[in-house]
Amino acid sequence: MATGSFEFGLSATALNAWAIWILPFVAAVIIPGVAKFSKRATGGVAVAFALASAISATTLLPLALGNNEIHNQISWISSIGLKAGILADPLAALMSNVVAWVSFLIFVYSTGYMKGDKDITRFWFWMAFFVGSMQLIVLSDNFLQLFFGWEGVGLASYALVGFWYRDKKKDHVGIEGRTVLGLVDYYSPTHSGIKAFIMTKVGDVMMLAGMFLIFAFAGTFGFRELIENTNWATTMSSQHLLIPAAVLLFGGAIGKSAQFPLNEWLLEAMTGPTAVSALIHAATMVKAGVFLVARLAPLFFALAAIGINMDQFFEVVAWVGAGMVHPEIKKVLAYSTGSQIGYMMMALGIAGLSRQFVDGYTAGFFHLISHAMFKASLFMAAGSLLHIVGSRFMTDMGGLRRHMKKTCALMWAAGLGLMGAPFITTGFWSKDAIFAAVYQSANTWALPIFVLALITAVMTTFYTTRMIGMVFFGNKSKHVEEMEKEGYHIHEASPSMWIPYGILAVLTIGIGVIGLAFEHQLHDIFAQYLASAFGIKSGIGNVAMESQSALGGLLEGVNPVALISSLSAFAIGFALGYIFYIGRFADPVKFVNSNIFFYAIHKFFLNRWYLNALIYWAFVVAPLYFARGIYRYFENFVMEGFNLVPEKTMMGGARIMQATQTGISQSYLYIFGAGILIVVLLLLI
Amino acid sequence: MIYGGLMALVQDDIKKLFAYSSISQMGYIIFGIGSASALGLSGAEMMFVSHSLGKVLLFMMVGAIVLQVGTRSITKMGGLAGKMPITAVCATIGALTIMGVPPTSGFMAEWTMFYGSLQTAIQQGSIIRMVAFGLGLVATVITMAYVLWMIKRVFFGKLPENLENTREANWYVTGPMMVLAGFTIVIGIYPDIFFNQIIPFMKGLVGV
Repeated sequence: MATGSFEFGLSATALNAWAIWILPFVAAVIIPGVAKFSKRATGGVAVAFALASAISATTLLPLALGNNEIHNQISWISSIGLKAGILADPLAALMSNVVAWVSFLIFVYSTGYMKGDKDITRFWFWMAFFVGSMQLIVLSDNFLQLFFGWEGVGLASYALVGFWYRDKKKDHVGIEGRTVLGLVDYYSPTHSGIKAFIMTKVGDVMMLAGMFLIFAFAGTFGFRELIENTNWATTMSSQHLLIPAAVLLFGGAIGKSAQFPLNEWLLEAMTGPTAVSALIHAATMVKAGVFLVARLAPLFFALAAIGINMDQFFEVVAWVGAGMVHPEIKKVLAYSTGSQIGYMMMALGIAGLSRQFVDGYTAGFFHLISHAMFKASLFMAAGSLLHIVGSRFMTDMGGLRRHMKKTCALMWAAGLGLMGAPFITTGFWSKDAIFAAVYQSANTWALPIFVLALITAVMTTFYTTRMIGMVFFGNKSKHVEEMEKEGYHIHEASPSMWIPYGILAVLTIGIGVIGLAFEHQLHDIFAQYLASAFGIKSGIGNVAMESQSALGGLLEGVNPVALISSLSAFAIGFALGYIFYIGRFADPVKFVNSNIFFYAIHKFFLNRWYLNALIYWAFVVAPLYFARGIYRYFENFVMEGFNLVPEKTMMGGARIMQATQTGISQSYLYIFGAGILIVVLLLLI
Repeated sequence: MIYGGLMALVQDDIKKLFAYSSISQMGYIIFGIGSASALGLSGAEMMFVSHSLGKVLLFMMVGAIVLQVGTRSITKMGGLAGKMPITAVCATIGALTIMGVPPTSGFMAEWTMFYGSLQTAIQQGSIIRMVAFGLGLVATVITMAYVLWMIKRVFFGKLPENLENTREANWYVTGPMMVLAGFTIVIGIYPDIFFNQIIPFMKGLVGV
């Protein structure tokens, strides 16, 4: 470490770092108490604590810039020698700032969005719990503590996705009556909550197994301890257990980050209040998976440097990323998160394969930051749209730009970020960095991955343009016209709602303008961090390096091939979107129906690759039938039948005994006499 | 473990559901004892405590519901969270304990137990133990499925019309539930109160 500080026992210098995750939990605990006095005050309390937590996070920033860290431990389970601790290294410091500030803005937004909900106490309790758990993940210095936060976000998402537990019709997702492979494609909030929890739990269980495997050999859960002494890795690798352990750990990240094949819960997670979706997608939950990979990737990469081949692991990461990067054309924002997270995973994965670990690492994390900003902004803007229009279908909107000028402008700004509009948005630079990292990596798979990423970029631009076009342009939909007829005035969202997403949208553009400089700063931080904490210097990797860091000078950093590709991807996607949905020169429905090929693709996407239905058949319907079958035919028939055997035997025996107990003294005497006769005869013989 | 879990999944009578769940949980404990390592045994012991806490909470919930609603059939319930909030919260904490989700004592019990069994498996290089470890983890997912599904059907969703007048149980019922719920969380966050006593003893027992 450069100038790391390590202390045992809760020390005053580390209090700000502890406060980041403890404060939201404190808020969660006191909120039910506050609600006893005033339900409306709960929102204020939550926002105040979120702000305090965000400010404590900011105090860590100088630390990150100076490549220092706080590592502070206290005793936890002393009998096994486990300690709880805080590890605020540059990675954690940056991440916790993103989480804290984005969630603070979402909290402010929620005060407007959830106004008047009668279960507001429960809402704030879980929101605070959610953010606290996420910060716990970010700041933990060991696996076990991280797992507490890990399950915490799972639990909070379960509670928040199923927040409207009364399962009213308006809170369902999907289209009523539509079926895929014979299963209904229509879900209630509580169902979705369970789905989210169980699907991520499958990942968690894998992660737990991976954790234990490492613990069994290393004897520690601590991230720092694992890198300080790497004998465990050598032993594990000689028993062929290191790669399974790494893949299992990555399974946890797949579940949380909604990556293929555990991606299906994310779509139903839309049943929660929109503020919750924003939190899940932008600041917490799905980012937890990326963070875990970011946390562990340098560790495994460093292992690679000491001669242990971790390539398979990184290839898995990269492929899963690339596989998921195909977004659907429906339920735009949810799928777009899946695909954007895919980008991040891809960047982190490619980092492990490439000569320039730092480049891919920076690109992935940069994209995480910019995604957090524009996705939170988009979700909140979408939330205020449905708040005002009263419908979540885009076909029920249309022509809103004259009524909601601010939201329209801000959504354009954030949307441009998602599309990666050239030169002025963060999305452009971060995506460009990923392309460059992929393109420059020396791996054989780099080219196919690059092409996939490029196709995805076209699709991203297309669907974002489509979304904005459908909502704000064209003619008003029937739904909107009816509302106006009934005297409902379509108006702009309230300030507490549009200011938060306004800030994020402006930041998307603002940081985008200085995007390259920002990226270089980030690159420097990570280069120093990785070099000092893990001994990964830029230029050292699996293959020898010819040139210095690819992001050296200000303009050197731009890879021409990557730049041209992402520019053309943007142009194609935007042009297509413009033709169909903004200019409305062609009718997309007719277009899709005009050609069997397009129709087939459309249907395949609409049915979610049939993946959801297949998962349900395999893991829900089949086991239930199986269990019912066993219950009916085995438990009730064989087991109960078996229970009857001793019962019947005893009964039979009892009956025979009973028959002898007649209660008539003559018959006893006869038997008595007969008995004596038998004894006498026996003696005579 | 798995058999009990699967049976619990398809029960309609809420008490029968928990009975099967207990079968499954006892399977966990035997699994822990079978590991014959200090941590596995301590985990099993802890599971004993944690399972009693969790299961008692859930049975108290059943009691409260039978008292207030007058039926044990899950299909006749629904949407009770709004009517019986304290019972719902305590039952959820009990459910988390059974599922082994932190920060309840169930997690502390389960992870030590699973880790203990994995440790033995690695030390002996035994494939069977490895497979048992994997199946044990699968069982936790099944546990989660039946418990969550039960909670959903009892407390969430639409309130049947005939349950419109349900009220929260009185303090004699909810009070003990809250105490137990608090206890499982305290042990879950700070298990040393328990482990400090039991782990050294178990270490002595297996001779480490």
